[in-house]
Amino acid sequence: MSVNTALEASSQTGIEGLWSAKKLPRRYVADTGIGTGFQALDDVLADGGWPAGGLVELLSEDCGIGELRLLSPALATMAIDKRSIAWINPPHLPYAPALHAAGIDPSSVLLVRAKDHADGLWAFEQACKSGACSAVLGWFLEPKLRFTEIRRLQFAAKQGRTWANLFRPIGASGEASAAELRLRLGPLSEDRLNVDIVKRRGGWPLPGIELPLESGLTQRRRSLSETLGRWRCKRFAAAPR
Amino acid sequence: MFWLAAHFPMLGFEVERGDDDTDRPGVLVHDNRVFQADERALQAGVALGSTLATAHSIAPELVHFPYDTELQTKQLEILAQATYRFSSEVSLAPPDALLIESSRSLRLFGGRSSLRRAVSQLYDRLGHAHRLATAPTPMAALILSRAGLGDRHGDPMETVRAAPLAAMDISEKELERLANMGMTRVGQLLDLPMDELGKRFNAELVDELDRLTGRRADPRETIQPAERFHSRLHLLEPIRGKDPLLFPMRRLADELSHWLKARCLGARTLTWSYAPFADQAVTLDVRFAQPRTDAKSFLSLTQLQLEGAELPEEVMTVSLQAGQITPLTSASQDLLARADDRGNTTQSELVDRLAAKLGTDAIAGLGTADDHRPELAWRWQAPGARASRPAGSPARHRMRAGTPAHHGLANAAPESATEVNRPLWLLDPPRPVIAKRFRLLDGPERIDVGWWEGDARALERDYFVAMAQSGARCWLYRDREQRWYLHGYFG
Repeated sequence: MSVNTALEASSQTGIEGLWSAKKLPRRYVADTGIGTGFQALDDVLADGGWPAGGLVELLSEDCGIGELRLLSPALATMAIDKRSIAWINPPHLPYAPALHAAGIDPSSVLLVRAKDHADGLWAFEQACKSGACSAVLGWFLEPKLRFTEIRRLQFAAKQGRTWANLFRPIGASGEASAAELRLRLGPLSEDRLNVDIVKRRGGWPLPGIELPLESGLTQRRRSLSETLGRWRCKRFAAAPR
Repeated sequence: MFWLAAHFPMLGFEVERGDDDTDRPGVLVHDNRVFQADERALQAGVALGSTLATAHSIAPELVHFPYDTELQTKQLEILAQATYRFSSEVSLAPPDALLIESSRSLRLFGGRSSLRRAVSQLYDRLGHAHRLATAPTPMAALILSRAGLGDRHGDPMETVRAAPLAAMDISEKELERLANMGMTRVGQLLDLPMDELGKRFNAELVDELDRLTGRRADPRETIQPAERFHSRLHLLEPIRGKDPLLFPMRRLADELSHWLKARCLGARTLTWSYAPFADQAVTLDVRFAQPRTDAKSFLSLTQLQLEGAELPEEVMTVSLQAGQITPLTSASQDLLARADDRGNTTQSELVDRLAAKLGTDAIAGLGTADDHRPELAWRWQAPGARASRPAGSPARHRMRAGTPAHHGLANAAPESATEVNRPLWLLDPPRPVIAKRFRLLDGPERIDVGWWEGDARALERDYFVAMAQSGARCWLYRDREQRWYLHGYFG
């Protein structure tokens, strides 16, 4: 009996303890994730959203292309429980009024600036393990980040059941990683983001997911033109009298 | 009533001598006469009451200290505070004794003899020679302890009769008068008719005898426990290395924890100090985000900080001091946060742990501020310090997406931040850029404020949303001199 037929047989008879991707209970699993706020992304992720306990790698070339706007809907829903969001060594300062506008309570931000690489990793791990954070976002010096360290972070996230995010440059997408979900981000146009799934649980890599980013700009423009239009209508309606 | 008296015969000497631990004999001098002498001095033949010159001629290498009542009283108060753990009724009997009424704590400490043993151990650990005695009245206990008769078996009221009169609070002059009458023991005095005694001597003597026998009440003023904590442990042998240090530290942390719990208090700072044999002590400050009482978190946070600290090679004394002691209120406990099953650490515990290892300035929280100037619209604040739920919380979000019936409510809250577009990343300070490399998408938004606070704080800027070549969405501004700056990324 070959391995394949043995597997076939086991999946039919249902041997205890043998897991196969086919048996992934879609419905049940979908409840465990944290909704991303983007239907197109939720549909293709194993948990139906960001993993509630696991490490996500976000690979992008440059800061500012929408990496935070991708996370912000989920961060906003996480802000309901009063736990903090840990930011370990962010490249710039998270701007409180913008967080506030995105629905993220600025006082939930726990900003950690570690002196060196090891301290940063330690803080990331502690924040994950403690369970006191609803989400952890971390930036590290890429040349120093090793495979074993990422595996450790993934383990900590799993252990503390924390949604952990690791921001890395796009060059790291070729390397092996223990992260549960790996996404490559790239800008498409001014308010669209291209997401390639490099690695996911229960599925193949999937490139080319287009996400519309929530953008205050377009809304403002829309509301401005609406107001102007209404005002003009009124004026023109009133004029003949 | 169960009175325990503790007499410290060498208190003055011990206070003066302190940690000076030479081999030379020492005496305490009061009024140019030897008042207290240590064992070595007594062995050398120095007699109590002899003049300092005589003592020096007997033991040339003698060191002498002046008698300082103030210091001695201070030490007695410290001892009383330490004794407070055994009973709530501890009173001072100056100059060198304490009285403890412990009939109500007997069961807690497992009976008279074990209580006595525990008290004795405490004073041993603090390094004070002591004599304990118990009696039904405070006066009797005091006299017995001063006379050193506390270890005798039998009825203490009988034993006290054998005590010398000098153990009573009687002036020198009257002692002499009594001695001239042939009175040297307390028992002899008690046998005399009180009326006669009152006529010949003053009423105070009769009063004292009445209090001794219990005919007259003898209320004592009890001490109030100090609302601060400072405890130290002198180690018998020097400790090298950090791991063995944890044992004495655990004892101190436990002590503090009991002290705090008994008073419903919490400490926000701890100061550990590690003193070597002769050199300067090294101190270590541990801070907490919230008042804490449990010894476990005291230790675990200290341990994190201890890793990076430089300690003396050999530690002889460890001391612990608690600061910023505040009453525990129900609001300051993370009861609900703990109920979450995800982890076993609360937010403030995490903050403490990070701060202990990385330093307090490595941790920060954010808050918004009411200002139109982008640099001033936010501020640092203590992590986890939560204001009331801000308008930008998910509650409002649901409203915006919800039915039009909620519209009035949503509009009622002034939403300055959501009206305009602000970047999630702020560059601090702004970075000068060349405008040609950006494609402007929206703007300008003019911010012209702060002129009322003088030129240095005034802003006159036109803000633009722009796209960089990399695809990053940027927040640019042009100042009055037409220079361009990058102030943020939309993330």
